[in-house]
Amino acid sequence: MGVLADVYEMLNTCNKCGGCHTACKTYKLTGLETMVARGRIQLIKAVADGKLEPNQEYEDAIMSCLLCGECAVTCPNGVHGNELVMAARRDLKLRKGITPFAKSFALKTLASPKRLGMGFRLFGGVGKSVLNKLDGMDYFRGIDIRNFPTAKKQFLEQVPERIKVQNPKHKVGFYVGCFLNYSLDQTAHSVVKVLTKNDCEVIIPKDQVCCGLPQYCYGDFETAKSNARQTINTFLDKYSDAEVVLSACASCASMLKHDYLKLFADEPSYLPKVKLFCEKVVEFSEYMDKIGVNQSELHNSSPLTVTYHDPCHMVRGLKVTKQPRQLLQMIPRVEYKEMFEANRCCGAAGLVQAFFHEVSTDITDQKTQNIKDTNADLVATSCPACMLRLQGGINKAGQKQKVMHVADLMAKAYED
Amino acid sequence: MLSQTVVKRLKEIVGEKNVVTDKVGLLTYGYDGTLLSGEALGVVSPTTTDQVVEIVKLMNEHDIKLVPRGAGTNESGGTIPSQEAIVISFTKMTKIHEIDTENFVAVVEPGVINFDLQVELAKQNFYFPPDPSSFKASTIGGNLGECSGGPKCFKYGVTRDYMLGLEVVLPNGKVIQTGGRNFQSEPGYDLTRIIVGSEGILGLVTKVFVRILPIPRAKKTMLALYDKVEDASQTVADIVAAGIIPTTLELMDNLLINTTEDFTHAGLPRDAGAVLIIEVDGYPEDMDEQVKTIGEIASKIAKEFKVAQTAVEVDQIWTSRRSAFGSVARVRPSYGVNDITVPRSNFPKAIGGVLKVAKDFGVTIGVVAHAGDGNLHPLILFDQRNKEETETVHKAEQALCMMALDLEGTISGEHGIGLVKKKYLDKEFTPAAMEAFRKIKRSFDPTNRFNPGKIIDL
Amino acid sequence: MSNVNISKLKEIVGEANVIDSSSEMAKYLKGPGKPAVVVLPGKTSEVSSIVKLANEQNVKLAVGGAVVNTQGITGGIAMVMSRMNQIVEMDKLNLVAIVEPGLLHKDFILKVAETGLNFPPEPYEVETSSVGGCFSIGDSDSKSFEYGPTRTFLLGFEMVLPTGEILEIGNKCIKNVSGLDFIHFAVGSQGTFGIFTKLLVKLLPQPEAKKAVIGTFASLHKANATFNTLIKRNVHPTRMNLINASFAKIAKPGTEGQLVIIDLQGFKESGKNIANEVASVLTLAGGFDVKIIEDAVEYDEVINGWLKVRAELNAKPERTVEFVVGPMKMPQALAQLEALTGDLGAYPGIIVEGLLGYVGLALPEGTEKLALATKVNKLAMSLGGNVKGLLGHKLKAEVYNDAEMWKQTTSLLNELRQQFDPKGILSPGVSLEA
Repeated sequence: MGVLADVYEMLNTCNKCGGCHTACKTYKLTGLETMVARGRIQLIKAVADGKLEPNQEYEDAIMSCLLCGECAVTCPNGVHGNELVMAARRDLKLRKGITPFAKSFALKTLASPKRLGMGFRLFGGVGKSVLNKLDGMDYFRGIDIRNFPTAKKQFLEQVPERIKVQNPKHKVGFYVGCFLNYSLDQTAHSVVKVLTKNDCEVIIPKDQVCCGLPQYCYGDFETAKSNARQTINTFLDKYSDAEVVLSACASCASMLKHDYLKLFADEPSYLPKVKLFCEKVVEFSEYMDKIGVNQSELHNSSPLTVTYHDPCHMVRGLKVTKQPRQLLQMIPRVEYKEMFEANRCCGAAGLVQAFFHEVSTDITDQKTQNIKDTNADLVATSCPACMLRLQGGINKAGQKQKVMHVADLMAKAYED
Repeated sequence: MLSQTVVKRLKEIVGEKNVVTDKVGLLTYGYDGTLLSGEALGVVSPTTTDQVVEIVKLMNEHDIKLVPRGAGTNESGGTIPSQEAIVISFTKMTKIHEIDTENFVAVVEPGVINFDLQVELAKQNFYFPPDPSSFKASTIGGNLGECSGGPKCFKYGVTRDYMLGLEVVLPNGKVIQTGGRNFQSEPGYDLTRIIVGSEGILGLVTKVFVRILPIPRAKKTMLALYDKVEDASQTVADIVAAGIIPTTLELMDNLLINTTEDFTHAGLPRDAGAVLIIEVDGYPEDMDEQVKTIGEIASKIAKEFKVAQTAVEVDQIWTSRRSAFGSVARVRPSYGVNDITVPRSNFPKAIGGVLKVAKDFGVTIGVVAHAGDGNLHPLILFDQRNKEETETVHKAEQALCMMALDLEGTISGEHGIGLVKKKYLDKEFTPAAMEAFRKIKRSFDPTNRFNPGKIIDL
Repeated sequence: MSNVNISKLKEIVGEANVIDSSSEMAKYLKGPGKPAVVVLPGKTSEVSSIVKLANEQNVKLAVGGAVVNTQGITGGIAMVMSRMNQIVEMDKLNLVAIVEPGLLHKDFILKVAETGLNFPPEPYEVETSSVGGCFSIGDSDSKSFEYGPTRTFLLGFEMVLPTGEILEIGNKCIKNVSGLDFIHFAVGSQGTFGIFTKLLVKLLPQPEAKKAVIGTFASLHKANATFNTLIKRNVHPTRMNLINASFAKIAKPGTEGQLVIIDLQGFKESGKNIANEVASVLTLAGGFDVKIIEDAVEYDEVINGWLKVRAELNAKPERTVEFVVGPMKMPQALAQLEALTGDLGAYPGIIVEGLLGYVGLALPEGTEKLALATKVNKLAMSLGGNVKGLLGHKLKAEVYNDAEMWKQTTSLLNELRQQFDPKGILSPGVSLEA
């Protein structure tokens, strides 16, 4: 009850005007009032008021939220539906732990690098080969398994701890994040390439762990804190010469930069250190834009039409929207095309894609259509989770576009 | 509680997924845009007219009442399951059957969201004039049920003026068609008109033939700022006297200017007493003269008058206006919306009346108004957790309604009656008129099974 | 055959206002029926007393503005509203007027114009239509595309119910959704819900400029084709009407050919440009004597010509078939219609309201109306429309083979009528059965 009491003012501020209907993808696609900020908020309020005992249906309503944050932007009352859902998830955790086995398993896995590595290999390797044998089983809950990339070796094991350059102008701490480490290692290499091309020495601590966002999102603040503490201490204490902590994953970056502050709000003694850390955190595109990109070495042999998808954490978390578009347009012969609703969720939304896959698949299908409508050859984005989701959706729809990280496109242009 | 037999039959009719009977689901269909709430016996979401018919027949067999619902954004309590009833939710009937711009008609299902229809129409340079502030969320069926207005009513009228025909499932489970694709199809009585605004107490609408219009070739948006609300209403009177019918004459008072500014940062001066948004549309060659005339009229009194030069400026102005309702929550968490309307000439008196009510009851009231229509939305700010304050607010609302009636007005200009204003209805209407309503209700629904308790009791 | 208590009537309205000699009665009556008495009430309370009396004695009562249609009435009372013809209030600030129902439409229009205002609904019959009749019939007309149908202009009324009670409803607010919408529901109820005794009417400012463009065409189809051209060019005049050659002579004596009347009410600047655009469209399409009319007197002549033709059609509903199709489908409609009727140009009468997709046909002697209407309805339905009104609904239901729907509709209509008029006193000539 304590958690909900803390947000009660905001719960009470929802006037039930229904303005969030238009913002909420899960509502748009299900038409269900339990699947929209207004409904979720009223349910949370009912729990806070003791009028409703949390049950499975309540949990579904709370867990199916994409946390995309669009409702918060739309609400004229200034109610942040996503924050209220987060509070409700925390409340659920405190009430009874994270109940469903699958979710708890998934989160525990994410929390430990070892288990996570195994998980990715299992899913991408063994799982893939098993499922490949079953006819028509290319997509597990909307995720394109057949084409799910798995790093042969963790990225962190592929690179040295420091990558030096001649005449370094900057020293960049690279927070890799789980997806780039275990799955999209090529993108991590692209980040390093772009940084080094721009005179940055790259520091890649070996003992970095999951940022804690998944656990935080599902109310497991304890695990999230423990991961956060390790991340903060690693970068601030062991690699204090890193001027910035750079992440090429919008979700990680948003967690590191904003949510850590909220996470440690109840630890005033540690908070100053958190603040110090947060101020150092920067997202890839944001940083490249800030230091100024070496454009003379960007080459591109063939014309390319590119569109950009704003990850939720990028547009509403970090509020970075212009920079990635500008970077893309620096690449020669790139024609940039904006897609309809570029800033709306792709449907991945952490575990939502696995546990509420029908909604999530519908959202992705819409996104895929919007991409198709641009006639772009390529979709760029800034979040590996979005990349996998989008590529899966595109493949399933039989479209041809390739999804790449902004860093991938830039790295390719530096190679050309 | 619905019996297992009924639940099973409902699931057979609409499919497992489209029946909600769990407590959590029911909770979310018990409220709307008002402070009221109830709890339905079940929620059923049909996707076809046939399913609606089957549901109505089943409910008749089991003597269960029905409450129709669109997006549930209304301000009247019209969709609250206040008596034992199932909610029939139309949010899954979202097909746009046809858009026929050549013949100025679109055929849609009731669950189509007003905005979604506008988007489709805009592709062909057409639009559907009624656009209540809730239009991004509210459904055509809901707009029809409440006979919604919006900011363009001064020139274009309310929802009823754009309904050409309806497919209606009657309380006896039979389907009729009213009107058609044009103005001239009513069968004897204008059944379409009596169903529009009836909040589902006469029938369930399953298909709507709406009139659509080409988007006017030109539009000009103007903004005038005043020291006092009374000054703004003088401009309104002067514009009308000059023979100009603007599409829009929207007014916000100082409180609303400030709360919307907090949200939109549109740049309205926070010390202004009132802002008037004026819009005219029509042929491009007529715009300059109208803008000039309006400018001359407004500038006599306004402290500032400007014409929006870019689409962005127009957007900013409208974002302010459209967020007016919600934005007051920044001051106090709850608000009561009123919908009183008076003859235009009494508008200044109504503004005075609102101020008096605020003073008499010691409540904070912000005013946003469709000034051209004499339609005011005084928003009374409070905190619903405070019982005593809530009680005072109810009294203040009653005083506002009585004030409007004293000024020869009405208690509802565009939101409908529902539950919220039902108690004042017999103050506005004579016993003979109230009896006429009952006669109509009895003709359609003698057993009072459709949205019982809304607008009138039998 | 008089079961009407005439002396009681005289007590109510005064001797002079009760007429029971058939020769004197004649000028107030039209139609086949023979009422026992004509009564001219002077105020609402008198109307109420008369209706109560009719209830007590169980005699039927039909109402008219200047003239009463006696269809369905034998014995009983014909009530003429012509003495209740005052403008109670002309409220320029609120753009409304309160008028009594017996006021003639043409007189009202004059008074409204003097005030600088505009009352758009067209009269049913130029000379005898009353304001009450206008709302009682509640038609749409050729200006409805721009201004909305007649009901749009009613904001409230006072009515004497079939039981004699007086019902007041509505107010001067142009936006009002309180209660059930009995205000607009009553429009077009043809006196079955009650007798209007006062009308609260919405008015508009006079348009800044009025112009008309006329032209004549050798072929009805060519004339009509110009309408599609105009709509495609996004030109939506106030009226866009076509009158066939035989009717055109009534509208504008001496006209040879099919007459097109385009009425442009609006602003000066756009009016000028649109008039030129319309004139060139008409000319290019083969119109001759194409003319832009700016002179007010000449303009009124043209419009009155149109109203006369419309009245001619309205005068014989039993000899008229009216239908609507999608406006842009009119060329197909006329072509298919011609297959049923033969040369439309030579037909006794045909009018087209282009913006509304409306066609009114004055049938030649000996035409089987129902048979033609049935065929016409089929063709109209295939083009997005139907035969107008109650008959149209019946024919539509027949096409759908949905007798159930028709049965439901009529039983609902009759139930409503029964609720308001349990003894079946009022307007016996009005049938809800088609």
